[in-house]
Amino acid sequence: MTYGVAQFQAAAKAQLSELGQVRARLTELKRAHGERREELARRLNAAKDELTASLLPAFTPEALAGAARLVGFPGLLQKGFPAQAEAERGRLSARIAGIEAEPAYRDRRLLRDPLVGTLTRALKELEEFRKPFADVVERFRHPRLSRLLEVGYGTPRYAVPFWRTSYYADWKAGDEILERFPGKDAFEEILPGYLEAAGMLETYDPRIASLRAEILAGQRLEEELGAQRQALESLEPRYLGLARIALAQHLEDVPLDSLAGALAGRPDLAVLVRKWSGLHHQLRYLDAIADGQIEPAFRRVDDDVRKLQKDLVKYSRPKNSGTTFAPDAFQRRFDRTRNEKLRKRVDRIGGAHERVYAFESYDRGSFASDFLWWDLMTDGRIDGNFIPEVRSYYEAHPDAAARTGTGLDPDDLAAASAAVSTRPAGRDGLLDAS
Amino acid sequence: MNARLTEREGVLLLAREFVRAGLSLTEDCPIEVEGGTVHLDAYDPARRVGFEFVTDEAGDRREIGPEVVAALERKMEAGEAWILLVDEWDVEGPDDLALAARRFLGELRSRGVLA
Repeated sequence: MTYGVAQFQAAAKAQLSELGQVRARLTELKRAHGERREELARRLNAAKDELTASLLPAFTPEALAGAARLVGFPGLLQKGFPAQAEAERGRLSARIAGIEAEPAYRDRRLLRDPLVGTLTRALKELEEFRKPFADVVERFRHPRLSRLLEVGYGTPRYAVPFWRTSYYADWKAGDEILERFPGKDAFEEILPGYLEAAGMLETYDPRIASLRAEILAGQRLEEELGAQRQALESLEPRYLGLARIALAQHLEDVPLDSLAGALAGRPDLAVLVRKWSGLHHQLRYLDAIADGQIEPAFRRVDDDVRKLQKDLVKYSRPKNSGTTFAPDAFQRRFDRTRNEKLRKRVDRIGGAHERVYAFESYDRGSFASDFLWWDLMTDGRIDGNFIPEVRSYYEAHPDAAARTGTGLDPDDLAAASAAVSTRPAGRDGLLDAS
Repeated sequence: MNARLTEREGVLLLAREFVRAGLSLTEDCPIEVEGGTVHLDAYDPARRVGFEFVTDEAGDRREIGPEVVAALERKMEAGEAWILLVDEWDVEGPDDLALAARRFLGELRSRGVLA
């Protein structure tokens, strides 16, 4: 018995519906990964700050030496943060003293007080003198004004012949300006006032600009002094922050077991290091699950959905209506057990992600060289071989690998997917209904 | 900015102002200028008053180039003719052009060329 197009379409639609559900679950996992990752990154950052603050509570030579000794990081002293801080302190102090000695700063009240400062008052006075002249110049503002002045419009010098259009354009522009001076009848009457006002502005404006520049320079000096003083006040916290960053970088680079001896006498620090290291691994594992399992599964399901949709379109065409499908190939393609396996696999991925994310027993972490956070977080019941760190660990510790369950089967998806891409018989030659 | 006047719009507007001032215009009128002949858009041969509205559209720039304009100006300086020369690019709109025409004709009256 062979299967016809109607049966193919019914089975494909059912398959699409099931893949749609799986796809929705994977979409939800992707969203959850984003949120969880963000939260863990925040917690990791807080743990790092707490740890480095405990390791290096102050920016003193003793504290720096103590932290360097404790974590085996002589580089912390070699970086010379105290010397750098002192050099900066020297530069800042010198500049602050220099600014404080400058007359523009020292006499700031005398010069720039908003009410009685000599510069402020001089500027205000000049601006008041300038205003009536500026008003006249403003009333003369016209796109053709510069031309009128150039050709001497309104003066005996004006010699544009009356048969040229420009003669009338000049006339019109002159009239438009004249309209702004009620009671005046001719441009000649108002022109001297403009020339005087423009001349006064030429005198006042450079003086005003110079005063403004002097005031601005003084204000900038005050601002600079504020910034320099603030930099001086924040000097130690800034260098303490730099030293802690260097310390954190070192901790990220060294194996945890190398700290075991040093932290034996500091249980308070050991707790913080375990938490920080655990969060580091949690984040790394979640990323590995997302990149190595969720994303590939999502892409594979998407590919399968596309193939099914393409085939549905193909077999809905009249010319393909007589296609038949071989029973073996048909059953393989629409094997429901494969869908079940796919669903279970996605559930397992989600379970692993949830389990790693929910882990909070950092105090159970160990400084032992054969300790694996993955095993602690999953209770050794989830196969983490898709994570390079876990795989290397199992290769180096075959006994531990034997104890671990094999919950995740990387071949599941490939097998399920292979069934989806089954080719039809009929016109493709696998089985001919005739 | 106003749209530029077409050749026909400009010539009609100017003609209306010139006729209103009592001129008898001849369209596309030839006048002699320094040995050559130039055709003006409108000209009253009796009063020797007219106008030329120079546009790209009418191809006026071929006939009335800078040298011809200079020759026409010499003719006007000599009091032999009174021609309002308007370049389409120098006019912002019909009101501007009408005002220029009225003022030109007013100048001619004040100089005794027109009654």
